[in-house]
Amino acid sequence: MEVVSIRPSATRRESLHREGETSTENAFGGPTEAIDLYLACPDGECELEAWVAAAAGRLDTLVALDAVREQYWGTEDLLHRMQEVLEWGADGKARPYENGGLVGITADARRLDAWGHYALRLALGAESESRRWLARNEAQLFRARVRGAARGDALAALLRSLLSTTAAAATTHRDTVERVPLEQVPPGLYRTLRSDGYALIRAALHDQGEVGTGNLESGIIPAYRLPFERALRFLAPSRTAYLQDGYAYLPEPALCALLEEAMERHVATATERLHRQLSGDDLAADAQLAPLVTYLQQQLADAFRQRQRRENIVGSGSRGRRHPGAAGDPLHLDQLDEALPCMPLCMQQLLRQLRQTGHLRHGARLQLGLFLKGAGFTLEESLEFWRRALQVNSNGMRIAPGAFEREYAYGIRYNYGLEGKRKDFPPFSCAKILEMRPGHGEVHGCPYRELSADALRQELLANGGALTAAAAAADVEDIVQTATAAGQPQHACGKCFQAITRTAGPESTSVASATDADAATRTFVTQHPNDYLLQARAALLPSPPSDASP
Amino acid sequence: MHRSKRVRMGATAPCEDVGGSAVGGGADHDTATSVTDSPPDSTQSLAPPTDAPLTVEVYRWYYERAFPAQWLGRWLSYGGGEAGDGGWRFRQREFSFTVGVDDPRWMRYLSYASAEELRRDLRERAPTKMDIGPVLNAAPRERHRVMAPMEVLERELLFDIDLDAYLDGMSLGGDAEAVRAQMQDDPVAACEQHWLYMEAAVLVLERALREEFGFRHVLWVFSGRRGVHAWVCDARARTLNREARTAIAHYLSVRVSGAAEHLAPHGQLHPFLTESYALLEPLMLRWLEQRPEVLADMAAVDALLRPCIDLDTRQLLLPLLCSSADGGKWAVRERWERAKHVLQRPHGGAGGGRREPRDPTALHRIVFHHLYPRLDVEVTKQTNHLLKAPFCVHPKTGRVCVPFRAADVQRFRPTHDAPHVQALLAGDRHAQRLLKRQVDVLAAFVSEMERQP
Repeated sequence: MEVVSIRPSATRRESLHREGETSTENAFGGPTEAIDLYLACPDGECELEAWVAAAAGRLDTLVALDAVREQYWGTEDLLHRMQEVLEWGADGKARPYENGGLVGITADARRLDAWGHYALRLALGAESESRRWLARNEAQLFRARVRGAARGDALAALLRSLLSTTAAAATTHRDTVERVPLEQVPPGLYRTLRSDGYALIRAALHDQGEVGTGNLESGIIPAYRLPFERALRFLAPSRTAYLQDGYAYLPEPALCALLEEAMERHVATATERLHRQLSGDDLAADAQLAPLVTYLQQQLADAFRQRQRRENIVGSGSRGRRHPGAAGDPLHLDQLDEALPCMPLCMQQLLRQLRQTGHLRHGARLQLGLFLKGAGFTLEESLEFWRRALQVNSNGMRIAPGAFEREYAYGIRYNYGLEGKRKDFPPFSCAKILEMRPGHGEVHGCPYRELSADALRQELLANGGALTAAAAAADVEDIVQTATAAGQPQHACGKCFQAITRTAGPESTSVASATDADAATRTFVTQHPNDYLLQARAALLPSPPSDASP
Repeated sequence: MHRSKRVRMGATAPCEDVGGSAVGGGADHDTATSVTDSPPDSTQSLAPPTDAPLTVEVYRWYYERAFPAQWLGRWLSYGGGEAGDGGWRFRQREFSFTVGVDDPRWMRYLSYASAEELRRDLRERAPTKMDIGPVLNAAPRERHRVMAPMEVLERELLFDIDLDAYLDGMSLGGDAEAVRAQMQDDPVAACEQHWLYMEAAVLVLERALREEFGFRHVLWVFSGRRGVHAWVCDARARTLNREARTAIAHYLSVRVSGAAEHLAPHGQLHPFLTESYALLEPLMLRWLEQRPEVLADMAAVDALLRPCIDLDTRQLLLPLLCSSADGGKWAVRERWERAKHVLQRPHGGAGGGRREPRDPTALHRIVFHHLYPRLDVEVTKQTNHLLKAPFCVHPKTGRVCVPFRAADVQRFRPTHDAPHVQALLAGDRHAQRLLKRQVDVLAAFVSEMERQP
């Protein structure tokens, strides 16, 4: 067996080291100290073969974690499944480092683990997409490890070490994570934990066998505080932290989420910095590294491709292929009313608002405008549509003749890449729409995320034209529950799609109904509103005979 | 366009370099319509000669004789200024001018070595409007000589509340077109009439910014037309990144009709909401007392109750609140208390028939929907936004954009307390005394900040 001893060249070592000085808290001994924060690359030499194996195995684990997270996200099962992956690996072989063996782990295994991590930084960090993927899944791995090994003050210590890698805010406040003694815990924290902050402690209370929040004051959940800038995810979108005098007060379980976030940020920035110092040629020129890097990149690309395939089968993609003619059939202005029931709820909501008030605000115009463009509207049709639809401006004043051309036409031409940046903007995906949180008086964004259960129910009944009376009650309730109680807007949208297409099944073409039983058992997850429209039109509207066959 | 007031760095809107040639303001800018477009007699509500046109000479006189450039300079140097020197924070601050009355031009990336230099340039160019931008990594006027790309180092945390956002509530029980017309024709009077919205905004934000976020230096400014601005000037606030500003803006925004997480229909409210509600409820009562027409009209009460999603609760509250049903024998306060009482009564009580729970937060929803400050979130989120400087004259109203102490918000009356530039020019004693008092507000604010940075 060929054993190559490899030692990173001086420059590369230096760049790996520069990202943070060796922390004393990083020296291992106890269970928490055995968790590596990857603040500095390990010294010494590493056998190439062992290194390759460590890196490949690690990538397998990350891919498996990613798949598990996608499948079980938002369910109670998620953490359990992740733990399974850690203990048994993607291939079902037990992993010594993960298998509860953190306490007795050898220095060699620990070093190898770190080498594996740094190999992935080298191989996958050059492009922003794979770098983000790496950071996200490394953070998942880290959190799963921490969950098994660290509690309380040890968590806070880990968090302090990680936070110290980023610049402190200019503040007179102590920029640290500290435990709040029971007698100093502000009562507001308990009120927070009994309202919007309850989600943070539900699992912890359950683990302790507590049935309610009655005993919080006796300190069953330790409290911590840190400057609010360090805990932004607990300020918005929902207020789960208690704020007092510039500090965010949080229950212990919240520290895990902060750790994960800090790790993701740490890996992302450190990897980006590493690749700014290295050029791609460095890696390609290194005879020993190049094969490893190529191999790992290949592996990740394979994993991406596999997932893409899975999505196409599970998601609504297959419907598109059954109606190639109809699927590619562009939507035109005169077909708008007929296509209305085929649109996802977000777009129906926008169109209704536009018709009722004669106005949409900027975010909404962008969301709807790009959607219509993506559906097939030509520039002229878009201009015509908005000219007719926009009656009043944002102040409620009637738009004067000529004012449309002056104030709104620019934006429409801009969307088509004819003004300003001259970029042909794609329609927003669900991910993007979910990110766009509407402000006061705004209606853009995803209704499944933004509306409360009651409002969503009303909206569905008002808009879901294709939800027939018979199917409506049960379906609507299911959709509402998926969106609000389970917090899965895209799943809810998929269920709405299913409900609409299912009820229409018997009337639609024979090709569609043949596999309807099939479709009913699958989960649909809407990924893109234009995709939704394509599939829904294909299923609901009889395609023109000339277009029916490819 | 709704966001027409917003100006971003690097935006494609035409703008002019320092000392460059004239460029039209473009549709993207507030001052694109010249001052003469608005009827000069639109601000007649005050006795002094406010109908005279705002000429360049008027502005020049104002900058020369009344504008407190020294205090502005001391404020923006944040304790870093020596005599005659504004300190780096002042020197690297971006200013922008809108120059010209009939054909306004917009000049960006202006910067000054000292407050005196700023005053000289103000006198020379006599801008109709001055905006303050961020502190950049180099003096903006020297940006071509600096190799590094321009970057924002510091920016106050800003809040902008405009009466425009409250049109639905303002026209409850009345004629929406008339309200809109008043907003166009006499915005300052409209702002005064509906000042309670601004009062609510100041009270709620002031408490949250101080008690929750720990900020100490918040400057409140009447925008000169129909809104207020807040400048949070603590060092900590000035160095917040965009992510933190976004989180703060969303934390401080309440969307009643939105997701359940913001106002859970059942169960407890986050302390931020209960504290804000405690401030807003008394204001709601005053608001209803000020506007008896709302409760007198069944349709208006129905609109008032719309934020409460539970239809049964709405049906329950409607006759309790509406005064036309019982000939108005109850006062507003009593009506409100009865509604509260009914909501607190245990469900399915004496009557027994009712099974489904009522919405116990119905009144919270109504109060939050109508009175909770409606922030222009984008202004708060961005670090490169330009905001009108305090003590500017609003080009459309002629009113000076004056700071006021948060504790005085209830007493503040826009038509009375924001002096008109023509009144100052005519030597009106009262207006001059007012302006002096308001300069003292800024001076006290700056001194306090220097004492306790």
